Amino acid sequence: MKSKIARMVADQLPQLMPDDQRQWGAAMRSEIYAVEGANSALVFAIGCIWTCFNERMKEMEFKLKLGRYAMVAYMIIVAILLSASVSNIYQTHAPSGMVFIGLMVAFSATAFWTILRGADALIQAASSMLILNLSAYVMLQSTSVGNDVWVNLDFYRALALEGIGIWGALLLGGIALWWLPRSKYAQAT
Amino acid sequence: MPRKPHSSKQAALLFGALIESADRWSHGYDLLKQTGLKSGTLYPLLIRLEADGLLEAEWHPPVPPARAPRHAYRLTSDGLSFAHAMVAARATRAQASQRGSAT
Repeated sequence: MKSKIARMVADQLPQLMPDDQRQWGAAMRSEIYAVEGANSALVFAIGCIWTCFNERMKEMEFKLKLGRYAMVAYMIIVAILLSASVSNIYQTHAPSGMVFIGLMVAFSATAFWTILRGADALIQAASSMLILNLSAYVMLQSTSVGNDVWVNLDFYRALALEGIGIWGALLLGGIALWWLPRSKYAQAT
Repeated sequence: MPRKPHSSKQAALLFGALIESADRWSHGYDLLKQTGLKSGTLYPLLIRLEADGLLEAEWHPPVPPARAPRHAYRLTSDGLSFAHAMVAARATRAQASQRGSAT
């Protein structure tokens, strides 16, 4: 079973290597048949996958794709976590539930927009949401509304502050994804 | 200061194995067994050495029980000189540090 898995993994190695190094993927694949023992074959195959990943990481285009999809994955995870608590919050306090639904939609929409349009979309969405969160935080700091309207004013302040942090980080990530292909580093590699 | 290329301990192990088999072609698995390196360390080293012209690689037809052609490696003449120089430099450093710790 282990050697079967090792060989299945090894069969993918030429495709996993960068285009100009396919022959090295094929070299690792052919070597798997010489490795003695199922455990050793599996360890060998895992090492080869690691080699492919490292070689790919030296390509700027791959790094950008990885960065982009890591951010998309992060936004989807945040959206899923928010959706898990939305129904409970909505039952307790409908306006708060609506705020969470809005956040969930914002993260999901930004994730899909980033898949479609890349760094530009991430910068646009993150800067808009950053402004929205900053405005919300300023408004909540200066508001004198009682706790009967806002379930917990401190909680909303913390939520806005957290939003500033998250969207600020996503904005920086978007700027990095936009800037890296234009940088001297990209031209040198 | 940037590190000298191919000056790692792992590269020295590989150079040692390649010097030993300088008169014949070696396969990846043979080099793994000789050096004790993992495939995730060995292949990046081989890739870099070949890119720098220190190693030559070619496909050899399968020898039963092997079913597929295998990639084989040996040092080029430049690679052999470089490998000897690196191994010698490493031995000198090791001796110097031994003397240093003894005094």
